[in-house]
Amino acid sequence: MSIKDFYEDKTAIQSRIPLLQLIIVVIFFFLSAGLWKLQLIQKDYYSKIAERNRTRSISWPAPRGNILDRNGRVLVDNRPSFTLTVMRDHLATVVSSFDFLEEGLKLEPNFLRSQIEKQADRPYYLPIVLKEDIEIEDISFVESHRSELPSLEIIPHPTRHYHENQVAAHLLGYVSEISKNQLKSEEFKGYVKAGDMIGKKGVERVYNRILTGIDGQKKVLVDSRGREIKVLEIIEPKPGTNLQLTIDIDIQRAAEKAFGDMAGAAVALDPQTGEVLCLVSRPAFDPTIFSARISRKEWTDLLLDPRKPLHNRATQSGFSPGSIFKIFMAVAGLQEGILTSNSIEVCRGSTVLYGRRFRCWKKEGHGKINLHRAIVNSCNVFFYHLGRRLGIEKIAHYSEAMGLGKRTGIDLLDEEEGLVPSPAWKKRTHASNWYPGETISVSIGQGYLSATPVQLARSFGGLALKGPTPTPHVVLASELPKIGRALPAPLKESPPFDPKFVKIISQSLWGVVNEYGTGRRAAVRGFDVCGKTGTVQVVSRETRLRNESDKKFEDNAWFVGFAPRDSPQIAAAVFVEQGGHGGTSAAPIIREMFQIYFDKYKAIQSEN
Amino acid sequence: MLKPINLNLKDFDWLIFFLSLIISLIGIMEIYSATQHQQSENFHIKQLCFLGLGLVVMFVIANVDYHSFTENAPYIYLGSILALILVLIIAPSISGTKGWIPVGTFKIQPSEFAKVAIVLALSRFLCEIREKFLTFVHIVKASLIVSLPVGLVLVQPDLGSAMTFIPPLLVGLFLGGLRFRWIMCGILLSSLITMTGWYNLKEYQKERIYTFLEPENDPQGWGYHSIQSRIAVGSGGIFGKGVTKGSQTTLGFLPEPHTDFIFSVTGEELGFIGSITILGLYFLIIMRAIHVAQTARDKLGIYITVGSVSVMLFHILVNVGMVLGLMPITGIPLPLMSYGGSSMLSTFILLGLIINVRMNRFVN
Repeated sequence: MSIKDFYEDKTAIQSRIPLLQLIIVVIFFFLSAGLWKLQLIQKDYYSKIAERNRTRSISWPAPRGNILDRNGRVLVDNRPSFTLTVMRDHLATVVSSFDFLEEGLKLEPNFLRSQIEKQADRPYYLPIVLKEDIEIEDISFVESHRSELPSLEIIPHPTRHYHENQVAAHLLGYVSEISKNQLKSEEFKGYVKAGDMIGKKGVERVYNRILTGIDGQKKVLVDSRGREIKVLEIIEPKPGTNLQLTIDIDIQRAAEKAFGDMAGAAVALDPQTGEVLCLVSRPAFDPTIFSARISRKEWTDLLLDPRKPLHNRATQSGFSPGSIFKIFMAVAGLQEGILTSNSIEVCRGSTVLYGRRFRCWKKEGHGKINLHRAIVNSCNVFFYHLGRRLGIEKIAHYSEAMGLGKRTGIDLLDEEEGLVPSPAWKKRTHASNWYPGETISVSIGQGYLSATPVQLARSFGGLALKGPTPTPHVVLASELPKIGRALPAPLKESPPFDPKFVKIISQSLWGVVNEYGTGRRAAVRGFDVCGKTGTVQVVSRETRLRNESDKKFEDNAWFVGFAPRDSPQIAAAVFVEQGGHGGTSAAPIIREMFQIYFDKYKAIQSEN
Repeated sequence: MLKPINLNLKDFDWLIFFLSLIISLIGIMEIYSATQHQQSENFHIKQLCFLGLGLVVMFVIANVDYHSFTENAPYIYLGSILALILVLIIAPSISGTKGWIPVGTFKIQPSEFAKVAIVLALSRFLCEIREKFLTFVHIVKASLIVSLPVGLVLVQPDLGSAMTFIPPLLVGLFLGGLRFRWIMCGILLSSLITMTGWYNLKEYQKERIYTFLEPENDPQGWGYHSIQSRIAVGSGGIFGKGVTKGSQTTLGFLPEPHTDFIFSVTGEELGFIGSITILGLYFLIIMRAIHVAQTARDKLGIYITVGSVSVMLFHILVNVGMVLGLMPITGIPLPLMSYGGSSMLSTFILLGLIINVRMNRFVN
């Protein structure tokens, strides 16, 4: 070291040190500001992320309530099933193992990738479903590879089990995942979240709120690799409420069986209470397929099926009532005094009214015929004349008073209201005048007139009861307080008919079944079945004759009735599409239903 | 030649001693918290040993006249260059880089000690310059002193450590009499080059550069680590979650929580209060060191002190900046806090040099 070092000039260097001090202060200020921003300003934001990092909430779906028949037999419950899921946050860690997983779970190559693509627009916080309803072997496969695949989750998922398969499918409805639009709707607000299974049709839909439980949750502590460290919190799911229906599954099954391959609908109800005993629509579908993620193809196949299996014909379709309507005509005629039980008409197979020929179904005619025989043999000519004398306004009035042309108020969605035509209606909708000839068509239940099976069952029930009928409903009244609903009020109008006229008509309806009339195949020994057949042309008589062998042009068949005659306990309507004659195809179905009812409830009946 | 060691405790700078001791102890506490699930490794115990060793080394270094270090600077420099070459030859490759020479159960990181050599060599070179302003030749020579180790460390490759060699050069040149217009030119030129260069690069090219320079930090990992670190610090809030209670730390969301990201752990568990306190302690040490520089006996003392300060300051800036998401991830340790013997020792050597300069301020 040289001596001059001690006397060297340090001033130049030292003059530059303050600038360094400034730089140091700036650097520490910069870092402090960074700390300030993260820990004081953005604390809540980062705390939330840290919490999301650290915990994982696994939804624990609540089972839906069971659905029982009126005698407590289980129609719908849940079976345990397991869903393999992964949170979207952790998807990246799983994707590389897809080939391995697909092999282990015996899936087709690229199945998992397509599952993810399908769920691309699901909300971010919902787990991605890799496979639903996995087998026990799949579960053990996943569990034995936990360490390699820590982010996979197996979620217990109660799945709807429809014990009766296709039976009562339209009535029960089905469940499937809530759609985006439904999520926004008032109906599901507040108690349903994205990804939930909801009732989409039938009882499942109408009583969704009651059937839906409250999902539980398992909150677990996880590490950065997604491994569960410990369970922080468990909220047990609260199952949905069970629901007992008015349906008698034996009657329902018998009716469905009696339909065979035929399309149509059947409704039976207790006229005293409005309790629906069976509600059939054929062809049906299997509600179970909707519980799993239904493929687009299965869905479009169902939607585009020309036989319309998803459509509930019992409540959602109006059909021409045909000869069934003659009973409404008879009530109107008697009540208006135009008709008495002794009134006689002459049927020569057809009659000319307003310059047009109107035919009876019996070419050679019924000859001299009174009201009783006209009902028993379903003579058209008799009712053509009655209709001419009543006029369309009167016909419409009585029809509506007896429940046609408006919804019955049954607790199922999208009920059809049917149609009772009138001059005012025609002016409004067709902008043309009512032709008198149209009244004649309406007189035998043709023309614009249309009614649903549930409407007709209820109208006949009311007629048999000689009084107002309660609103049909499918959930037991004793269940209603539990779910905070009241029984719907019965029709307010007093019945438009005098009980003494009802007696006359009931006798004739009894005759239809029991006096070698058109409906004799509906007879049940010991049970005074009353009813009326209906056979409705779907095309003009000429087309029908030209295509005699074509099933497509076959007539629609009806049978509507009740039993027993004097103290009615069951009223029913059966409609068979292209069933031919009402007495041949529809009457036997109602017979099956009444037979089961009679056998089952004979004891109760004899007590009364 | 080294003079006999004559411990002088009366003139020793106890302020720097206590400040660095407190920081180190907090660091050990947080190392314990960060590694509580790998207790068998005993990182906190080892760090405590490093601390003890570091303090002893600091005492020793402080009590040897710094002039004897600079007299031997060429040998020290040469030794560290040889060590850096050796590491390239014999070091095992750990995730693509060769930085550590295994010695028994420990691993020595020569680049940490190279900083000391660079500070000493630069100080020696600069203090012998008599001109008021540096000439171009001076600048080139000084740059060459630094460039050789920088180049060797870049070959490892370890960009972060290589960068820590630059601050002593810049600060040394600045104090040594770099003309202000040259400084302006330098700033302008370098910012121009960086800006045009960087903005003309495509995103994937930038990523490639990152990946090339720092293979262990792939671009995806970069983002993930930076985010997790910010989450840890941010969620700490004012008071923190308490030692051993940080979820980001204990559940493994933080990468390297006991080494590079020890300050994230501190931020999460001790909160703003704790973190700002630690920053304050560092600030006090550095300002104290600057004061040492201002009162130093000679230019050599100034260069040694300011060079040492610049190394530490750069570490603090880059490491804490990285933890807070203000700087890219480079993987350089936080002095005194990050786990690691080499870093601990080299920091205490630098502190010892600073104290040394202070103790010799009145000597004639």
